[in-house]
Amino acid sequence: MSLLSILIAPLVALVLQHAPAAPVMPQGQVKPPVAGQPAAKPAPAGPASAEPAQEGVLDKLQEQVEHVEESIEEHEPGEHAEHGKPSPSQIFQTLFKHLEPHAVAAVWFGGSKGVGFVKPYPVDAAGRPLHLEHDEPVGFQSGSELNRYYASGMGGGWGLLIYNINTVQWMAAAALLVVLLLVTRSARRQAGQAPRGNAYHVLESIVLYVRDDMVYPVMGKDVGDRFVPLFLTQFFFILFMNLFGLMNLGHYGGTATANWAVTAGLALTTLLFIHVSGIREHGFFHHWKNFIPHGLPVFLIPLIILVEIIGMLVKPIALTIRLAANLTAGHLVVLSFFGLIFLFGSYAIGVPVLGMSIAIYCLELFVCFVQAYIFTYLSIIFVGASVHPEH
Amino acid sequence: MDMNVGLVGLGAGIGAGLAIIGGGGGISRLAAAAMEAIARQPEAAGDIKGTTIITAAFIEGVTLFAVVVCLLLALNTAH
Repeated sequence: MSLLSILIAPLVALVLQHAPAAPVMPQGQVKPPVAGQPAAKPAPAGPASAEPAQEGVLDKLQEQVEHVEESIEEHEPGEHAEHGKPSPSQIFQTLFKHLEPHAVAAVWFGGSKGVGFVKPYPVDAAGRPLHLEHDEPVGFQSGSELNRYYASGMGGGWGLLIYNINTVQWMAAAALLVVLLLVTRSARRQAGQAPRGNAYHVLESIVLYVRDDMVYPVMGKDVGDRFVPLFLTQFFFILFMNLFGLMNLGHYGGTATANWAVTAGLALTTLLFIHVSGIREHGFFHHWKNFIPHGLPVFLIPLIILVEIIGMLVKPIALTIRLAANLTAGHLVVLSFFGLIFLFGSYAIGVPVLGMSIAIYCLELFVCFVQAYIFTYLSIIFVGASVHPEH
Repeated sequence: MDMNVGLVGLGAGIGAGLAIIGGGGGISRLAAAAMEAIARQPEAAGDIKGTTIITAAFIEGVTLFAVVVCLLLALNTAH
């Protein structure tokens, strides 16, 4: 069942990420910064306007050019005139685009070639990408765009976009398998002796913490033993995704858990665990009857049912938003500090910005662990409440 | 039109500020209670530290719900 949880969460995320407009996606129009002519340079007074008829047009243009050159020489790179400076909202909207998921691959099913990879961005006749941003091609914004673009050329069929959040989830799952299998295999080979090795000890301390201080206090030892692998998987999966978001994995990287679709997938697996474990423990009808406490006046039961159903739905939503917002907020703050460099337009601001960014980055590292812990601990409490209702 | 766009931005900013008043005040009270409890009973420091972290994360989660609403306002309006 724990392996199933690794499979279910990315599949649900795959479905949810195609929903329109993730919450933290800036949709506003970005106006291109006003370039070119300096704004409102006063007309050269004095000799030029005194004799307009005698000086030719070329001379007037020559004077304007000299004025522009003087203005460029007067100002140092840091304090240029107002005309070229992007507005704060443009700076931050451009920076926050890094938090949006981007397509890294596309799979096409059907059509003339069966199943195969296609380019996830539109290309011109020579095969070069149509839209480029920082030398990276800008991909299709939705699956329907992909389908519209390729359907005629491939003779029908249907395509699926693979985003960076998908690849990060697969990398986290692969890291889970590799790390856990390798470390436990080397420990098992030293059977009979105390296990050695730093990786083993780090992993053991975290695993024992999850088992002894998270699962057993809530569920007890006998019930908890059945659920420990499940919550260990969930904890390490979320932890690895959070940590991969702090690393630079290039085009295929990003913070998967900062996207609400991914965290909603994880929260829906928790909801699944709650009901499946409750039904396995108590039977189908008794599990639903456990929502209503004993000894309640009959006329209150419809209200209690409504309140319990709302509570049951709100808990995964809270899990989703808590994890996604915590991970996004850290990145937003770091990106905002970088935006200060563009706002001031000087190099001197770089040193304090670097210091502040590193401080917030360390806080983000702490938040990664705490949020994985909170998500898993709340899942343990909810599943424990469904297996052992204390009414 | 410009007035409306400006008001949306103002609302988002003021909302985020108000949210942090509530969140910061709540976590401060939690921290104060935790310090006092550790001072009274130093051997319970481990338990108290664990509970403090969890409760602080809950309060921060609620604060971030408000921040997400403000971000939705601020970033999804055409500037």
